Amino acid sequence: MPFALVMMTTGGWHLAAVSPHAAALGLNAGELMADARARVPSLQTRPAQPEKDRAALTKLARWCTRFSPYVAPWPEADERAGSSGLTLDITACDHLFGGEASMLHAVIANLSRLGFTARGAIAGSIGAAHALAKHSGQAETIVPDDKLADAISPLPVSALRIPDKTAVTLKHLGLKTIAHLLPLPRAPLAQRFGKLLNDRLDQALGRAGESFTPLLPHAPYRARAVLAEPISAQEHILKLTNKLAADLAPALERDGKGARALHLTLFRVDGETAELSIRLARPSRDANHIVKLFALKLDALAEDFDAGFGFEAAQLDVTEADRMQPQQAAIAADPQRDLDEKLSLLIDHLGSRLGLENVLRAHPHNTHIPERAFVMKPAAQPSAWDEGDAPMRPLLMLPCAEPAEVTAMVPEGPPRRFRWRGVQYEVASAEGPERIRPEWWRERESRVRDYYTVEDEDGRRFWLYRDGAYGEGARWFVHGVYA
Amino acid sequence: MAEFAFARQARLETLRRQIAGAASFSVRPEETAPLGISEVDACLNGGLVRGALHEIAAADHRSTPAALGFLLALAGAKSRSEKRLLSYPPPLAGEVARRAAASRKGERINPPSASLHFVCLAPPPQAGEDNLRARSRFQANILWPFTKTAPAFGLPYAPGLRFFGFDPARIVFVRCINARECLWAMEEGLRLGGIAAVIGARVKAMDLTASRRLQLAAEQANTPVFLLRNYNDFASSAAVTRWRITHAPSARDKFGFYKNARFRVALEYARGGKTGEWIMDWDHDALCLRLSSALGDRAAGENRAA
Repeated sequence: MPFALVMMTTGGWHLAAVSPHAAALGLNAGELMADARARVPSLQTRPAQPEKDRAALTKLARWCTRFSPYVAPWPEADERAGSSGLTLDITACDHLFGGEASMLHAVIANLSRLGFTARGAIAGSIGAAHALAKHSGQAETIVPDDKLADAISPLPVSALRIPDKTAVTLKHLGLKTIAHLLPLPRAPLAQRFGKLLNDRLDQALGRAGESFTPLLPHAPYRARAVLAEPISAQEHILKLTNKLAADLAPALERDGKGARALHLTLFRVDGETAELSIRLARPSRDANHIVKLFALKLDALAEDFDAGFGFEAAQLDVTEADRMQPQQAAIAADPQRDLDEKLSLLIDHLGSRLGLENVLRAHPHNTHIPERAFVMKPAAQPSAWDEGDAPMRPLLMLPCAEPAEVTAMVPEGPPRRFRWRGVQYEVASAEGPERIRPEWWRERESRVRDYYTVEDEDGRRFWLYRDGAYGEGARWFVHGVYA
Repeated sequence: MAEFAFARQARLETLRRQIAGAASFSVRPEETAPLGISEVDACLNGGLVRGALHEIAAADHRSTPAALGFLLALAGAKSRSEKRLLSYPPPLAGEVARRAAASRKGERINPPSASLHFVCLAPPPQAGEDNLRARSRFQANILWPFTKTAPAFGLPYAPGLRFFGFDPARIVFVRCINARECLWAMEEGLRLGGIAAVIGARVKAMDLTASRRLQLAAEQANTPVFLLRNYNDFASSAAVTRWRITHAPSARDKFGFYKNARFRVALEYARGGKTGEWIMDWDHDALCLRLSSALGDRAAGENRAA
């Protein structure tokens, strides 16, 4: 039965894509649906869902990372008439599949097993491969580098990934195939059609460089394993991950690096992928530590983790690596070290769910301004506070000093009573002042503060300060509360 | 009739044994850490149970800092834990700006609802750890998870924590989005270990089930959990001890300077123990709690100092 996907565009419903049967009956993508219906009354239609197509293509691109790490779907602008495709950089990958020809064959065969009709081309330039795959009409094309021009010559000019308007104009001028364009002088072409046409021509011929952005970011370290039998049990997945992590260790060690972020991709038999990411607070190449984090991640997923009919391949990428000093293992048992390791696993685990920036440690800051005495930094960085005698400080510090109405016996003296948050406190005793001067190199406006520790009749202790001296508009603030 | 009563008694005994067996997962005998105050230890049946939940509440809103102080004193007393791990809520940027603006205008700011959400986790002292390093004053690894609610009396101040025997460098603060995440962080901390105690806030979301879960996790990890409870929160919980704390006028040294924080402590509930009321001093030099002779007895403080 002829079938077509239709899409609402300016001027009504148009055919977006047609089935082979419909195409055989003379229907083409881009026609008005009403016209098509008139010609083929039995035509079945469904609305096209371009965003779902795109998602499916991205999924397929991920699936294709089994052939090459660098895969990207064609840009949306290049997609026309319902056909879309993927670009694979197979540099140094083909020998793993026994050469270019057998690799291409394997790709097409695997895709058809998934139910896709695919055409493929291998060429020395992205432009040529794209043009051949889309327009040659053959399922498999391989072009050696010196035959590039010959191979693309018979293709229509629209194969050059140029705007429709340019292609139509070229056709009207009688320039129907790339062969017609090749002998023409370049300068007038550029003048007439813009720089893009020349660029595309050069790119197709391999004279100009072209790059594409792979779907998966470049991973400096990568390990992968293809399995003979699919696995689905958690312990098997973890064992496999352990093996992959152990495979990565020598390369990391050689470069003096440790992994900071890892990404595990599990390829399901049915073409889906499951992905897990972990971040480490400190660089590590310890397979056991890494696997423990993945195990915790899997535990957390529990029911949501769908193994389907099992995983047939796995890939572990180090997406972020950092310098790491070699560590000599202690030969004597050290309980402190054991605790530190447990703690770092806990920090990584908490950080992987809450974000490492939310697992913090206080670092001393070299200043005597109380509210700046420490800064919070990610807990992975060890901090050290010296053990020397520190001045008495309150247990709790208000996020912002709050104004208080203070009555003092003598102008420069300690508070006698004060009112804070609407409550009157009678001061039973006071200690101070501790004078803290502002850091003049940092802020000019702030004034000298005189801190007092005061205790009310019930035993509540507060840390108050007077901002500025009497006579220059001194104001009182409550800054902290003692236990 | 008497026979019936006897049979019933026997049956009740059997059931009680079964319940006792089912209620406890721990294979170890319960480990207790004495406070070193015989009067209190007697009420606690020997001391604080290590693998258990302990709740500390303030008598009123304005005593919340005292309750937190006493909580840290319980957790930080040197006789028990060598390492702790805390996490706490830093203020929201918006809240800071709002308060700064209000304080510039000289407005009075209403106290936010009393809630401090944090968890403190620290590893238990282990055999053979009693070396020089462990005996040094600041040897506590602390994890302190908290939610982003601004607490009424501000945030724990790292330099101030030193007076409760905590090393700020060994405190890991965990910023959580909500109470659920906070509970999760506490449980994971107990499960994964590497910490000596958990300190956190008992939040409204923590019902009896959640508190039982935490109690079981603490039991299995043999790690204490200290929770700060709102003064007006009377919900039931699985905690093995419940304390209620108020301020007491503090002790002075012979020069009249503040010496120790003093608390009026009421032990409201202790599993298998008795209740009691005391006035206690936190000695931040020796890192231990002491019984002070009487409220406002300044002379007693002077004698000790002398």
